[in-house]
Amino acid sequence: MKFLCTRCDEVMKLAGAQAGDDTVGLTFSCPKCGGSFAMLTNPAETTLVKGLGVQVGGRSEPAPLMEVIQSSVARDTENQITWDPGAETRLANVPPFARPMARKAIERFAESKGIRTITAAVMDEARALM
Amino acid sequence: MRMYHEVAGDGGSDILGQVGKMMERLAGRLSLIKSVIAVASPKGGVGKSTVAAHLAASLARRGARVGALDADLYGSSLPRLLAPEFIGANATRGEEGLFPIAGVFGVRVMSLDYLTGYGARASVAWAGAGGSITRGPVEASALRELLADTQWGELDYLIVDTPPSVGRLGDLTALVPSLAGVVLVSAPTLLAYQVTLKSIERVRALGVPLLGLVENMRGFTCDLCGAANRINVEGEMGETLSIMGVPALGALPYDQRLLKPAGEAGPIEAVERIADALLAKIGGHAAARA
Ligand SMILES: Nc1ncnc2c1ncn2[C@@H]1O[C@H](COP(=O)(O)OP(=O)(O)OP(=O)(O)O)[C@@H](O)[C@H]1O
Ligand SMILES: [Mg+2]
Ligand SMILES: [Zn+2]
Repeated sequence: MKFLCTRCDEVMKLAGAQAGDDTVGLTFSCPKCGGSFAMLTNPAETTLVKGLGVQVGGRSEPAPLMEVIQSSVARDTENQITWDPGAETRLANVPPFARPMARKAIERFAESKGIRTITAAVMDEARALM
Repeated sequence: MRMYHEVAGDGGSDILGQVGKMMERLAGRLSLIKSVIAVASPKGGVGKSTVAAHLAASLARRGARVGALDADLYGSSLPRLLAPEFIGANATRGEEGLFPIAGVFGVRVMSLDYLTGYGARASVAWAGAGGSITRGPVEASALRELLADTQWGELDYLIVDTPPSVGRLGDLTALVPSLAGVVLVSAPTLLAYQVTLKSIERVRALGVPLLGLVENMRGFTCDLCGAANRINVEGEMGETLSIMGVPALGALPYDQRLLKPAGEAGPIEAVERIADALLAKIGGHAAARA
């Protein structure tokens, strides 16, 4: 895309870029009359451009490794931790009303220890601290 | 007012320059790889991943330096077939790229599974607005990054396992103009062969060599009586394809050993023959190293 100042028929110069979470703001100004405007991309446009692996406003540094993949993968923060069958069986012994709480508590414990898979042994460890 | 073509430059983002840099990085990476081979099929479940994995393992066993790229972004299978001990592993980051996972016989495996952080537990989901409109570019970029940002090192062969359908094989051929060719895989059913036939024009139009067809699951040997059974294909479509100029690379029987991770059951004769045929086809530099 190119931008022209309709008053001067002059090419607008990119004056600045500002990136939000899912939007980018670009300001352009006319070198002749000084007139300026901002272009604000909507979330879909932002995703599209990011998906192409280019950066609006240009790049001064080489693109980071696996940039598009890393910035496009939906992180499943809720499901980072898995339960093995042994641990699930143990959890089934907890009365139903208390189960969700117990699950969360043990997951929090596992998270604090950087444990990804909850086993019966992890549950013992957690219980010892509770 | 001047129109687009009368105005020099772009909006200031130097998009063409950025794309040039991307392609430069990719070309640099590919320059260390002698042959990139795609395994493809218009039909799902015919054995692309099985063929890709067992071929990669076979070539590596012979002493070749082999990479295996899982380009089936939503159905990655190579981690299980080539590096079963590293399911759920994350690729480590080096200065120059992400290190592939060392699989059987040292096959260097790369898959989205090693990058998403949720690994083998779920296939990839993309964040961001735009849905189907933005998915295409993201998929093409992901493929480019898997090729360009993986520290493959020097390779004799990079085997690429592709998703079912040849519709987007063009993404790969655009990224790898020097592609050594495409190996087509078909199952012995009339429908699979018919769809394979239809895909040939599509593959040829991409301007890449069609290395040949692997007829997968073509027969089986009876465990009880030892008789070799042929699974019938109403009129030998494999031969029809060869009349159409699609060379046969060989056939794979239905074989329990192919269900296991590649290499685990030792060399499989039918796989070895296909690997030989493939090497003969592309001028096989691996045989020399063995
Ligand atoms: N020759 C064979 N003998 C026995 N089993 C086989 C053979 N070829 C493939 N299979 C099995 O058939 C199934 C499908 O094979 P595979 O996953 O390789 O197909 P695909 O074409 O890669 O599938 P997709 O289209 O989903 O990527 C797998 O479970 C695989 O183990
Ligand atoms: Mg597959
Ligand atoms: Zn102006």
